Amino acid sequence: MLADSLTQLLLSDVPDPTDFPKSPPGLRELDSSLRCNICGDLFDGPVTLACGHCFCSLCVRNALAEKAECPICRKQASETQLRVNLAIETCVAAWKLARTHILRLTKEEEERLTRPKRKASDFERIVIESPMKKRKRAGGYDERNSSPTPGSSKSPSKIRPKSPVKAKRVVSQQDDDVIEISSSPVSNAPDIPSAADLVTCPVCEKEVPFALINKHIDQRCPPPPPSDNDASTSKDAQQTAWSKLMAGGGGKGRPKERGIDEEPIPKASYHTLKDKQLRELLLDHHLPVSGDRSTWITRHQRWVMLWNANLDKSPNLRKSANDLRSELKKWEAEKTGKKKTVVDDVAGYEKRNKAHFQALTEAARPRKVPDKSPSAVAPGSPDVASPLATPRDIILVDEVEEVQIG
Amino acid sequence: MSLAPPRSSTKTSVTGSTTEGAGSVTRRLSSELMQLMMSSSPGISAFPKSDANLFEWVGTIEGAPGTIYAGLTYKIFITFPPNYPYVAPNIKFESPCYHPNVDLTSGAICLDILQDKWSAVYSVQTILLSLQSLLGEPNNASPLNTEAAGLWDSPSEYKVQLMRAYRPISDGPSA
Ligand SMILES: [Zn+2]
Ligand SMILES: [Zn+2]
Ligand SMILES: [Zn+2]
Repeated sequence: MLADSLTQLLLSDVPDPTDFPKSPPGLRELDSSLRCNICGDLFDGPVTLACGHCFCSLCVRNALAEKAECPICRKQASETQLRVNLAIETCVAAWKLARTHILRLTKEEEERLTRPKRKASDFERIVIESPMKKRKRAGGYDERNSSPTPGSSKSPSKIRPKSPVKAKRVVSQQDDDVIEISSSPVSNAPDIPSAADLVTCPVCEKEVPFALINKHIDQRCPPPPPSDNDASTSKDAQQTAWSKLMAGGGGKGRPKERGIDEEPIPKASYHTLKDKQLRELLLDHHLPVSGDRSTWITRHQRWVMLWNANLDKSPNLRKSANDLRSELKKWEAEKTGKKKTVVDDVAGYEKRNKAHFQALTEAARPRKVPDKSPSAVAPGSPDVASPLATPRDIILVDEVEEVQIG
Repeated sequence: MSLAPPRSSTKTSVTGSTTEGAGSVTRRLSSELMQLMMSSSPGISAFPKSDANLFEWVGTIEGAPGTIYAGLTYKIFITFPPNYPYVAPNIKFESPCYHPNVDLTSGAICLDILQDKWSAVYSVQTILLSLQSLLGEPNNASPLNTEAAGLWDSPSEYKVQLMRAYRPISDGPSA
């Protein structure tokens, strides 16, 4: 049990800058510099404060709600200073597409350098087996692990625009001959496709138009657009009160992206509002009115934050109002009920699992280049807080009591 | 030491979420865990207390070489609030620690970055490293243990008190 979940965590291999080797230079730094120092993820809706430091909009809004200063340099700061950073947003979108590919190329390059003499047939094998081998997706993405047998028709290049960019690597199907392999990793990097091109989603491996890929991932890889089969059984039936509220559009497919071009919501001065007005405020945004007054206030505050942070993203990257409601719901659930299974005999528990833990740690370590960076304590040093990466596809969520809302 | 994601991880992992925001606490905690494991900082460690709850960790801090705490290892408890990292985690010494900025009986710690100087960009690793350096370099201006603060300049006497309070971390179940 411990072993299982632990193994899972270790194998899940949280993406962070140390995925990249120190050489070739710059890759690790590039990955690191596109990550938010608060959440450790690639910037999502990047915004810049007056001091120049950049964070995800939602992250920094959260931080500013606690303290009106830049989390890195402590210069006085407020939400009114926030400026959308479009260049970084574009950069992150491109990096998301390129990252897996470049990562694989660097691994291949490493392998090639460590085993210099190799026949073409060997090389093909490696090309096919190495992609993402170490990555095991929790819950259902394991296909990635089962490498196609050599000679199978599956192309190893996973992330690649279908058109107009031609595949640069071709693996012969008939025999062991490798037809063409680009020697330089850089030349193999995909061009940024244009909006209509299909790219392969790095998570679910479905073909998705480039313009929609980020949204597709953000929405947890929904089935492809309702092109032929509209009757696809959609979603889980986990919605209760929320689902009614989230209705908006008509049943099938994604509901109409309501309110996506709307204005930021101003903050309310709750103490001046009567209960009734507060309820109205929530209902205006199709939010549940369960709970007491303080729950309403917290809910509305969070909603304003989610909403306004969402508006800091480019329209094609924004979430729908319903997605935001789901997030709000999840947030309330996480805040309210974490199921705590307490281990009584902690010391004994630790002792029993120590050996196992160590073995797993050792097993995990070589997967990444050890990183000895964090030594300073001062914020602002890029070494300190940066590598808190989390993958969007490996989410470890505490068991949560369903919160009755609405 | 235990370390593991919550039991439910298999069940819920696929549903998993967009980036930032909702559900981010556990996500950040699990990546901090990974970060700690991968970085192998000498003299510090921390893991969740049980595999069922990522919000309570146990850690160890070893006194830095060359300080009066060299060779001594202390156990600490870390509790993360639901709004971590926007609010600092709660940290206290589990082992009795004789130190100017540590309350000997409660284990409470007086360290600015754990109070008003907390920042959301800090991490468990940042904290443990700060605590490690605090051991060797106390802030005697704001002592929780005034006796210790008073003795700091008399190393031999200080060492006597330090060792009198010290309890080695036992591996046994009766800690
Ligand atoms: Zn962030
Ligand atoms: Zn700043
Ligand atoms: Zn412009």
